[in-house]
Amino acid sequence: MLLFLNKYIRKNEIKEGIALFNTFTGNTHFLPHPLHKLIAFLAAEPCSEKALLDVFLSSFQKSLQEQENATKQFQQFITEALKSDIIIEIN
Amino acid sequence: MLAQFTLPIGPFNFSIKTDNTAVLKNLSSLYGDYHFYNHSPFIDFPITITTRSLIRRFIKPQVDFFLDEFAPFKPLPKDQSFAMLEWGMNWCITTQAHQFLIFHAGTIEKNNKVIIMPAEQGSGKSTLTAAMVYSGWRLFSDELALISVTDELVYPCTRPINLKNDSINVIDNYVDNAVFSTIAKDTHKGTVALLKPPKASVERMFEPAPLHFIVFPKYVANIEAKLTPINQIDTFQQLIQHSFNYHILGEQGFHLIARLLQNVTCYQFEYSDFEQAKKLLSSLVD
Amino acid sequence: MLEQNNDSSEQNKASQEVNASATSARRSFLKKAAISVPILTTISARPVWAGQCSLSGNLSNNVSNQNTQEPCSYNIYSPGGWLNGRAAGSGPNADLWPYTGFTRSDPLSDLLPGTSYNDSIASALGGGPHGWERQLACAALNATLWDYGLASCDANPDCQIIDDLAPNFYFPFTLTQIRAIYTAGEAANIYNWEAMQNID
Repeated sequence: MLLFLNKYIRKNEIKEGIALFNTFTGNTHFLPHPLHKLIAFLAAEPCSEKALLDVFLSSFQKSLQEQENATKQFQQFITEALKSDIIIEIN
Repeated sequence: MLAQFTLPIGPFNFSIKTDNTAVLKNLSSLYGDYHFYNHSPFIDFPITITTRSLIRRFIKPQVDFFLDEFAPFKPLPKDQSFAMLEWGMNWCITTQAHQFLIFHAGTIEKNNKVIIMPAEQGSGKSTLTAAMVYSGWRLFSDELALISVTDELVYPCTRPINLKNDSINVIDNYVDNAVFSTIAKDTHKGTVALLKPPKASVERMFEPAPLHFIVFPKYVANIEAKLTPINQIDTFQQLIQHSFNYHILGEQGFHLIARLLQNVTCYQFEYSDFEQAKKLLSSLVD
Repeated sequence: MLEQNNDSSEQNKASQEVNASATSARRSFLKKAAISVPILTTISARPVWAGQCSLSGNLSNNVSNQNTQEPCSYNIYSPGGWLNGRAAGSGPNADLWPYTGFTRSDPLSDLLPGTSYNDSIASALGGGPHGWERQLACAALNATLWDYGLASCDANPDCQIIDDLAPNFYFPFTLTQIRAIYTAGEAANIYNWEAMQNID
């Protein structure tokens, strides 16, 4: 299962993160730093959840605590972004 | 017998037809500095305000507002006729003028820098706007910020300022020789009166200017005036909530707000005193 | 006559049990949903024809006219309204607490997770040196009404909450958004809560 940015999503970087607009639903979403980086990866090509997590974790310190916190944040982002139709799962 | 006027207000031409003497009297008094057309330009909004006929002319008389032949509102008591005209003109713009991204905001300008002040009803933004424009600032509007989707400038829509309840007396005491409309009581907003706009603002109502600041005002009793920077995510969300037509413009509105935020500074503004408010807001543009 | 009364009282009891069960299920859902502050903030699209400043005017099946004179302003029940006023069922008004999924005696931390205020929702709504908790507890309860209305009434415009709410009630915020505002703190607040809280 791969993740990909919904084709209806338009994006704008703003100072504290990224603003997203779904042209199909009309909803506007906001994602703070540093999770906004994931949007660029998802827009470029479909990624597996593991590959995306690896990329995300590479920008954090190596301490176990930091890595654990970042992983929780990532998982929460995936759940919320799927629910909000920002990202979709494809085969 | 209907009297008719053709009135340019910023980027719009209004045609106003009425048989109502209060509307005629207030138009003459509050729009005395405007240049009514004596020819027939293209009309954006053909408005008619008429007194209801037959029995309702004499028993609890009411007036109707029409845009062309469409009546968007329920009739109001006759003594609210001029307020109804102003509310109706706002409605025309906010529901039709989608060549602009429109916010519910007091909008003022000085030194070619526009400040928009988005706020809810009852927040004091019209009172603050009135105090500022009678202290050297140019009035764009006390209710509507119009940002062109084409050139991204803010366009004036200079009209009388809508004041309610206690703020009528506050401004009457603050502004020398303030000219008010007849007062309408028992409206859905309470007691309402309209304040004539400054002549200097009326004379420059065709001059747009760039947006420099977004300031969210809040009256807080007995506080020292202060500006607190707020982040772009909060500002973006607030702008959407205060917009009349973001949901209509869709992606176009989304990109426009994002571009505007690249170049403007955003604050939360708390104040209790007009003199402090003036000084602090002037420090942004001087 | 006695039998009818018994039937009626049985129905009332059953109805109360259903309400209690629904309230309990809703509370569990809200508690689970409150485990963490959301990462994504969403502003939902407003229907293009939402010309009315009311819950019913914002339902997708509403095809009413654009009979508004000016922009919508937020009008919500005040803390006093929730404690013993219109939202609490005073006079002819319906008690709105069952729609919220909370009771007065629930700890504030159920409604606003992460709060350090160590007392009930009712206490938070009362007077005292906890203005931020008071305002946001009130806002959160009002948001649950809006959430409930949109979730329950979209397919059923005759649903009861439409009749029970004050006609000028207008507060298109989700509970999630209010919780995020609370967590962000008073220093970051840009809303005039007192101006909105005008339904007593």
